Amino acid sequence: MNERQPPPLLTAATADVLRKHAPFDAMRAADLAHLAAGLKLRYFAKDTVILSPESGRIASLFIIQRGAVQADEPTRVSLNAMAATLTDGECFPIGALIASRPTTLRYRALNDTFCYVLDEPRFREVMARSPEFHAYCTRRLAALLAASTKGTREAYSSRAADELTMASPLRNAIRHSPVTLPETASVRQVLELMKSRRIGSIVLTGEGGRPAGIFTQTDVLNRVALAGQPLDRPVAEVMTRAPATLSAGSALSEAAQLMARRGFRHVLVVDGEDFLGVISERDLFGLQRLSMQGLRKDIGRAETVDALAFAAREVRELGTAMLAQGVAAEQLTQFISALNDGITERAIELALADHDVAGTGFCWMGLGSEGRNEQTLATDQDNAIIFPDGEGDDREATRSRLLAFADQVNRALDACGFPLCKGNIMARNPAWCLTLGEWLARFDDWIRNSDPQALLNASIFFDFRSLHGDATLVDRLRAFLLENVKDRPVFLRQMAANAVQTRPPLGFFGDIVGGDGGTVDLKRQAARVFVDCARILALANGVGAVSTTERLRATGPKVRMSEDEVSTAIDAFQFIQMLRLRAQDSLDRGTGAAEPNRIDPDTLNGLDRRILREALRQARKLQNRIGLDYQL
Amino acid sequence: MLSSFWPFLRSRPGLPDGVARRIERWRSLAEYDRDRLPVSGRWVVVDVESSGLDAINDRLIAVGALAVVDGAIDLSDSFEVILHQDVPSHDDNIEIHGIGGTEQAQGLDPREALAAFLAFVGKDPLVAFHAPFDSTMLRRAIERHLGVAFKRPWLDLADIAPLVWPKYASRLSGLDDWLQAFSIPTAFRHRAIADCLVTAQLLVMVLPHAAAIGATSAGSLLGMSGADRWLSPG
Repeated sequence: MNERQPPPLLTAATADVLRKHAPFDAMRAADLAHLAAGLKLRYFAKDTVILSPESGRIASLFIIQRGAVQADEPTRVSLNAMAATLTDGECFPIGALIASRPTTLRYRALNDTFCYVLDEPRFREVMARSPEFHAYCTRRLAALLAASTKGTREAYSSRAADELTMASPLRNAIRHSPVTLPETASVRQVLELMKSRRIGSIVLTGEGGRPAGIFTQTDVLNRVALAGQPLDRPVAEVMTRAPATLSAGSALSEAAQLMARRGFRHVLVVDGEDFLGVISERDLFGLQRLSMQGLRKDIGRAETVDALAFAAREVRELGTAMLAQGVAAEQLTQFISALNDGITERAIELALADHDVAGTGFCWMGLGSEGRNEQTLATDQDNAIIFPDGEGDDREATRSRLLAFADQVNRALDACGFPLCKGNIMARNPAWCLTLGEWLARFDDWIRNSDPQALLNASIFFDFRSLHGDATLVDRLRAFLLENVKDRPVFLRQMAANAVQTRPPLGFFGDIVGGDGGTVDLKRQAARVFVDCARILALANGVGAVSTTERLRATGPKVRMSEDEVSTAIDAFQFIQMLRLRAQDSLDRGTGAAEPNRIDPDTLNGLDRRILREALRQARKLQNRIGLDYQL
Repeated sequence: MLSSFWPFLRSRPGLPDGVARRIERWRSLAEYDRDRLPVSGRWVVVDVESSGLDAINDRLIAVGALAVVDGAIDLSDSFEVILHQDVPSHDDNIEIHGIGGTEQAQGLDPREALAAFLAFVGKDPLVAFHAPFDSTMLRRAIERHLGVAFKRPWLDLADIAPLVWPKYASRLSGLDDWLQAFSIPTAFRHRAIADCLVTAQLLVMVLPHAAAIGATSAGSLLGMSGADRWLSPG
């Protein structure tokens, strides 16, 4: 009967609407027209649930033409429950559609919303025709992560004026005296005052001049403009009542966590009955850079182990606050590593005052996660000493002096929150306080024999980095390792066999399969897969980089991994690291599981669970590659 | 045989075979059941462009139609045709709908165009904003060119929208007012199919409220439309 081919004008107009957004702006005109010609346009009144897990298998893609859709967790009410707001041009639910399964999230229209609906057959056709659309839909992980860190990065560039840390009291962080109006004022009066004073929020006072509510820039959009409210109405009708309040003595980190956990952007600061002012999210973001610099200075100035331990606690607190604000894992682990390096360095400097070992030409090495710059909040110390070869008695005398010095450093680090290593992989252990020649012999022995103990050692000691002292010793050790390990295929193959032994906990259908009580061991079943595979790739290809990220980046081109594959694997690894940080953080606060690296995927919000699943899939992909390389 | 032959006889003599067959097929379609057809059934939003605003004397220049099924606008279930004009409409008229003299001259034979329109619409209820103009324009053109009496049920959104949103009714009158009130984008209006698209968006916003204003079937919703009372076949 009819050709089911819409008039060109209709297709063109629809394509024009779509072209304002990614990925449609990058698609070829013919592919976009093919997509547009297959669309339906649906209307969802405010508060309509568009899709939910009960909707069953997903068979259409929704593209928001105009409006706003909230994606959230339908059942769970948890502190970290995530609610993402999707707006014009955004697509959902891509993952469920590709996998032909029900969605894990609930999608609800926040206001009157029109969505284009693309049915599955045409969706698959367009995926097959358009590489841009295909890339967009399959690069979900990268896209999701980019979306989650975008806000953070933008906020990072803002500034604050004073030198404050996250431990400073709120009283010191208030930037201007409070701007208030009585709650009987009209919306128009409030907007005019906000404009003339160039402020983002106004506190409305009720009886006795006490704060009764707050009205912010966001409210202008949502509650006045979009809601079509006349400006002559009293602001009391649209303000947020009983705004979040903290006392002036509370730490900035408390405000940061309150905002992050409850989704507020402003916190009122009070001193008893007195209202002192407002702290905004923006005020806090600006502080992070400054407080990092402040902390570095504090660490460098610490004259005693006690002072250093205090600074170390602040590092953890700031890390926690940044975590609560959703700072990306890579930035966060780098930040923690950088400050931890500073702490180690300072602990060494303090011990050097008591021990005359500077003349030995020793070098202090960080090993394992510290070597890789991948420390999480709960990290044991792993370290060792390398010093120049000397003659007989002389060498032993040097060693015993170094051991005494190392013992003091190890204890200082313990006091600073880096527990002594249970496996005794520490510089104060005579087995790991060796000359260059001794280290070379050790390494040589491990790669020749490749017994289980050798492989275990290799997984810790081959991730080494100089932290203090003569780095040339470390460079020579690394050169030796890279030169010799590639001629030891048996060793590499054994390492590869170990790396693929623990499979990421994914079921046949790509779902996460929790083990012990439904939990996943993020370290053993996920992070270590990336770490081990990256180490093998690096060693086999003569790459000297130590961090997992850099190892993947440097070896990718040599093993014909595409740039996309590399960056997706890195994103996946960083996401797992971030989940580990979060799990450890909740452990610190007594709300988490007993084991710092175990999480129950069911406690994650839907978006995070989706990303975790995708990250585990990436781990498996990397294992498969190693498995193929070594014919395992 | 006779039953399908009989309505053919009533059509205008001298119609091309294809056109005559389409008319025949259209006539043989079952009349839609006013009371049983659900609100979620197929609606055809229609908009016409004409040589002027006089529904009796001006000529039909273009017809656009867009279906709404199950509350969704199906962009592929759509129709647009320009009718051949021996003499193009005035320039100031062309400015309104943007269909130039050449396009008008290259339009489809009105008999082919209108027969195709009948095939697209079937016997489904029609929708427009200010329906009397579109319905009169179409009824007269179809009678003149095809010899077919085109008395169809029309849903006039100008009647229904105020019932659904009574508090806006006093402030909003024309289609533009309603589109603006609901932020319906009007980037390329005044081509028939473009006006269908915006009208259809208003329709899909109306339909979820049908039950709230007491309409349990397409027929009862049609019954609330003044246009339907004037134009219904029965």
